Amino acid sequence: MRNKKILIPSILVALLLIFAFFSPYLTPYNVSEQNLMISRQAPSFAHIMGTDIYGRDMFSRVIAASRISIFSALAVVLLMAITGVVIGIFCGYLSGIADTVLMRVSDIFLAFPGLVLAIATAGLFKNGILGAVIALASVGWPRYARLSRGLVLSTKTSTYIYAAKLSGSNTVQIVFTQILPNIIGQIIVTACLDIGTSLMELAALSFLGLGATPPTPEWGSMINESRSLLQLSPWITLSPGIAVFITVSVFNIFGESLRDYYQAK
Amino acid sequence: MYKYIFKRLLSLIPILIGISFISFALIYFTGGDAVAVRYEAIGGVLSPELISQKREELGLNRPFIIQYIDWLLGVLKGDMGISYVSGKPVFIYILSKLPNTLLLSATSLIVTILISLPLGILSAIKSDGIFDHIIKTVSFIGNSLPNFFVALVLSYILALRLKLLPVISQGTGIKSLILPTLTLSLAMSAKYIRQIRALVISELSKPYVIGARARGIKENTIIFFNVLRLTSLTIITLMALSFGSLLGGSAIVENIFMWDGIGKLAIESINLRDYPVILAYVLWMAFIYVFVNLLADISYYFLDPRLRLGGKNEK
Repeated sequence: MRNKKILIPSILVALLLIFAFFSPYLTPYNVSEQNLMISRQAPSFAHIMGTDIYGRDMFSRVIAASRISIFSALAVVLLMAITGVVIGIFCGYLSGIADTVLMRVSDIFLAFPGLVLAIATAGLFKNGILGAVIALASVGWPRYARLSRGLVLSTKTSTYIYAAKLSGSNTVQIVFTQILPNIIGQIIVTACLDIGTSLMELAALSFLGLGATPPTPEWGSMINESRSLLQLSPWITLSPGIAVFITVSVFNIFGESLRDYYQAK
Repeated sequence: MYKYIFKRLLSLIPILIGISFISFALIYFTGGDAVAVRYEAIGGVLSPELISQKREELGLNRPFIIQYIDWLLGVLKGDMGISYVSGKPVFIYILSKLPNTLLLSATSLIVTILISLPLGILSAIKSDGIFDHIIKTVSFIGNSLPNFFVALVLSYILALRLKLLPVISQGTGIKSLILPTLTLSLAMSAKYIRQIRALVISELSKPYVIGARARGIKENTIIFFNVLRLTSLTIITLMALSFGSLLGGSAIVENIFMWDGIGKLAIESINLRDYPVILAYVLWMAFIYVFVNLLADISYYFLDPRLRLGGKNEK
C-alpha cells in the first residue's frame, strides 16, 4: 500500500524528466519558425495553446523550454545539497574551530532574506541561467549544512561508528560507508521537496530578467516577454505559467509522498 | 525582560557585521569598475588615465578590507554612498521608498493571517471532511503556483476583464494596494493553512484538551482560549521567518504592479548597474529581516509565561 502511494508520483517524475530531456525532438511544430499569417491565434485544435506574436506554436515553445526550466532547477538543488552536505558532514564529524566558523558563516547566510540575496547575486553575475542557478544555490546551501551537521552529530556516537573505528576504518571510510548511508535518506527527501520551489524561484529570476534571457527558451522569461500582450492574447502568457504549475505540482506530490514514505519507515 | 532583550541585541552584532561584510564582498567581487559605470551612467567616456586618477580620488585603489571598513563606518553614520544614476544620497533614496514596501508587507501579512488562521483551524476541526479536502486541494494548488504568475492571472481577471482595479499602481492608494497584497497573501496563505492545520490537529490531541473536554468545556472555548494561545507562539515564529520570503516576493510583485517600493528600485538599479543602491537594498532587507525576527523573539516573552518566569523556550 505504502509502496503504491509512492509508485505513481515516481513514474510521473520519471516521465517528466525523460520528456524534458528529449523535449527538443518532441515539439509538434518547429519552435523558431515564424509565420506572421497566424500571429496571436487563440487556442485551437491545430495549436492547442495558441500562437505567439510571431505565429510560433505556443505548445511547441512550452515543450522546448521544459528542458532548461526543469534541469536547471535540478541543478540548483543538486548544487546546494552537495555543497551543504559536504560542509555539514565536515563540521559535524570533525567539530572544532572549523565547525564553529563555518556554522557562524551559515548563520549569517540564513539571516539574509533568501530571495533578496539571490536577486542581487543573479543580477550582479549577469550570466544568464547559470548565474541564476549559482545565485540560488549559494543562498540555499546553509540549510543543508545545518541539516546534515545535525544528522551527523546524532549518528556520530552510535556504537556501530565505534565498531568501525575499532576495526581500523579511517575517517574517510567511516564517512562514506557508515555516516553517509545513514543520513542520505533524510537529505534526499528534503532535496526532493525543494525542487518545486527552486523551479519557481528560477522562473521568477528569469521573469525579472535576471536568469535565462531570450532566445534561450525558458518558462519564466517567456512569461515576461509576453506580459504586455496579457490583455489581447492571454494564452501566450498563461501557457508557460500552466507548464510551471503542472511541473511544480508533480515534483511537490513526489516530494511529499517520498517524505510520507520515509517517515512511515 | 530588559536583560533578555539586551542579550539578544548583543548577539545580533556579529550577525549584522557578517551581513554587511558578505553584502560588501558580493558587490566588490562581482561588480564592474565603479568609475566606468558611473561615467557611463552619466553618458561620458573617459580616457584610461582619467579613470585611474578618479579611482585614486575615490579611494578605489586601497585594499579590500580598508575599503570595507571605510564603507561600514560610513553606513553607521547613515552614509551609504551616492547613487551612480540619480546622484542622490542612497540612504535617503532608499528611506523614501521603504514605507511603501513596509506597507505592502504589513498588509500582506495581515491578510495572510485573516485568510489562513480561520481556514486552517476550521480545516483542523473538521479534519478529513469535505471542507478539509477542498482546503487541502486549494492550498496545494497555491503552493505550486509562482507568485508572479498569480499576479498576472489576478490582474487579468480583476483588472483587465472585470475592470475592478487598476493594472498598474497609481500612487499608493488602497485600490492600488489590493492586487499586490492579494498576490503576496494568497501564496503565503496556501503555505500557512497547511501548517496551522497540522499545528492545531497536534494540539487538539494533547492531554489538556482532552481534560478540558472531559470537564465539559465547550469546544469553541477550548480552541479560542487554549489552543489558539498556545499555537500563537509557533505561528509568530513562522510569520517572522516568512517575512524574508515576503521581502523577496515583494521585489517581484512591486515590479509587476509598478508599486513604488524598494523592490522596484532594486530591479531598476540592477539593470542600470547602480551598485551603491543594490548594496543598500541587500543591507536594508537583511536588517529588516533580522529586526523582525528579534521582535518575534521578544514577543515570546509576552506570550509564553515560562520564559517570563526565567525558564527556557521549549518551542
